[in-house]
Amino acid sequence: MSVINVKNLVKKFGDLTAVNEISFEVQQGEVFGMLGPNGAGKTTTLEIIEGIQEPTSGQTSVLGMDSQKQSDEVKERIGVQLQASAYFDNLTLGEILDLFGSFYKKQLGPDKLLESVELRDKKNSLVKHLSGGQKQRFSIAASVVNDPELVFLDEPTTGLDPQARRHLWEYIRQINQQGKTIILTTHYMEEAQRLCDRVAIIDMGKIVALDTPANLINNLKSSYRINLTFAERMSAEIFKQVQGVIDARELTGDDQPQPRVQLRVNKAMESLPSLLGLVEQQEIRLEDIEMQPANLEDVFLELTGKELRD
Amino acid sequence: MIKLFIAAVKMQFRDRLSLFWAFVFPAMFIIIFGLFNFDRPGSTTIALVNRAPESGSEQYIKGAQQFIEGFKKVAYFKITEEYKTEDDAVKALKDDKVEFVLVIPATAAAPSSANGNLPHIQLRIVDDEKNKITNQIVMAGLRNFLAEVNLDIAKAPRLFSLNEEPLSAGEVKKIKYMDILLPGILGMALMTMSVIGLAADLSLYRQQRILKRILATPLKPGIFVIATVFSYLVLIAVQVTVLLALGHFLFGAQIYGNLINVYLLSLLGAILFLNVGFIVGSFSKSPSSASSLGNIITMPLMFFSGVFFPANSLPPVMYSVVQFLPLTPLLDALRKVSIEGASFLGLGKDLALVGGWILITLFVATRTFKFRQD
Repeated sequence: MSVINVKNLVKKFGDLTAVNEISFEVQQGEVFGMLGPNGAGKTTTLEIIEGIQEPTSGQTSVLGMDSQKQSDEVKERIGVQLQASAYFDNLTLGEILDLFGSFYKKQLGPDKLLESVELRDKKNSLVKHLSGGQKQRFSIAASVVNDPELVFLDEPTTGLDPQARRHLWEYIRQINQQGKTIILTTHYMEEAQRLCDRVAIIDMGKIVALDTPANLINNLKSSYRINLTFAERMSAEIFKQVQGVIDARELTGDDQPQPRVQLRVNKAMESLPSLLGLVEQQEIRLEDIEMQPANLEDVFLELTGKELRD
Repeated sequence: MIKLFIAAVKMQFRDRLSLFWAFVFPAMFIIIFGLFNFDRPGSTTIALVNRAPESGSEQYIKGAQQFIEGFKKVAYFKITEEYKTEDDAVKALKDDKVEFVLVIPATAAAPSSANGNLPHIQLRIVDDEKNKITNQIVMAGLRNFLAEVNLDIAKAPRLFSLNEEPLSAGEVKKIKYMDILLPGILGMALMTMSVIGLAADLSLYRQQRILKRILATPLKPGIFVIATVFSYLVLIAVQVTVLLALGHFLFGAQIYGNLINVYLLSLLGAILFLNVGFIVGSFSKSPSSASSLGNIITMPLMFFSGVFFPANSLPPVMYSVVQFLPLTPLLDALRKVSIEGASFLGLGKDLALVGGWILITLFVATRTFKFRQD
């Protein structure tokens, strides 16, 4: 059963088309991810579904209700966490949850909510006294204050260190296990891959692919990524002639301490011997070789020709 | 709704910066101006040098003595005899330690025809040209005093006399500077609080996406706005009370009119300036830009609308413009109530101006302030 239905959604800000004819459905009980770089149109799409922005054209419905025309009913039954949203500086966590709960017909008590994200002992603290991870956990607790059927999380782990991020995934999974459907946006490949049942890959206002993470990766032309580290700068061009190599490029940028070439291949074991043979003939010494199975990052790269991080 | 209102009030009283602007800042004005004490009586100090004992006759010394005793009874002047010679006294005058030097010469003046050919005491006055007004007052007072003394000595009958009666049969109303200042400070305090405080809050809520977060709940944005406004009205009522108490108990300011009317006027003023706060908040991206923009608007009002002195003491040309600024009619009305004890009926023009401003600012505020910004 689909709980969210988006049809031909368009949102323009002046000359800029932020969302360009997007359509998709979200099924009940799943964790649905929208993966894409900043500015791809993820947040705008989410906020239109939540009923806090108006679309230029197209329809969005939540639990069978129109996001715009029945926005009050929709808002009663969804929980929302906004990207980089703060809460009142001069209220304690307990008071904030109590206050936000009072906006809904149905509400969960602050104690229970704080318990669920292990912030019970911070009930009387102010938000500004929490760490980044604690703030995000609190923000998730606040998003389920009305015991919603659907939870929208916009970039829930942005700005967190990897450990805090993994920690937060556990809470998101817990909420999902309570039977709540989750729709989240992220620009972290790993987050989408680990957390989401289905992922929509979004770029420049359009969905470029939508499937389970496993299917997205399996449908790639390349199944492996091979990184070759050289002692000196090495042109990527010569590797393109090797059989099975789909793409070869030099890695540049400040985060590259040494000259590297990245290859994407469809069958690593078949390509590797001829690759190594080619390297032997070169004057530049190979220092390191590294192989990775393809991930959503490669999906994005193959579909858009761009790195997710750019 | 009740919960939201209580939460909003709690936030007001936990925000230290807003408490500073609400209470400490206006209180500083009251205390500083209160300590200046512009109303101190007998502020003119006269250095009296009596040289009669040096070489005068017994009768002459006695006459001088009588004069000095009588002179000291005139409460208006503060008399010091600490300077023994005329040179010392003149030096004190030059150093601005005294405003006046009065010398009783060592010997009587020569008999003159104007004086019925009798010797007499000719007092010498040294004054400073730059204190023209003080000099005139002191000279007038001295002449008056000498005339009385002369008449007493001559045992002349008085044909005319004066009996001063206060206007109202009961108490005498002595308007002090603090009575005039306090309504001004009230108006200034509630204005800065409403404009800068609210604008800073709103821009912070927008910057932190709190407004958007509220929009994602079923709460009607209008209810949030109303709760915020009410929390400000509570804060301003407390502010008015604290400032009135401070002015009254510390510096003896009097409210002659009805206290309820003072509160009602403050409420009207608060509504007017909260509208302005919404407008400023609409155009401010951050709390710091809200407070700069708020200051740009409130500062000129503070100086021109008569916070520290009634605006109608400005040059008439200026007042003809200034009287239409939003703070001016509010302060005029507050002073009419607190000093003259006016009722609301007597405030027609001021109330019309304040009401007009409320309508204008409300209109602009509803156009500019948007909860959702796409």
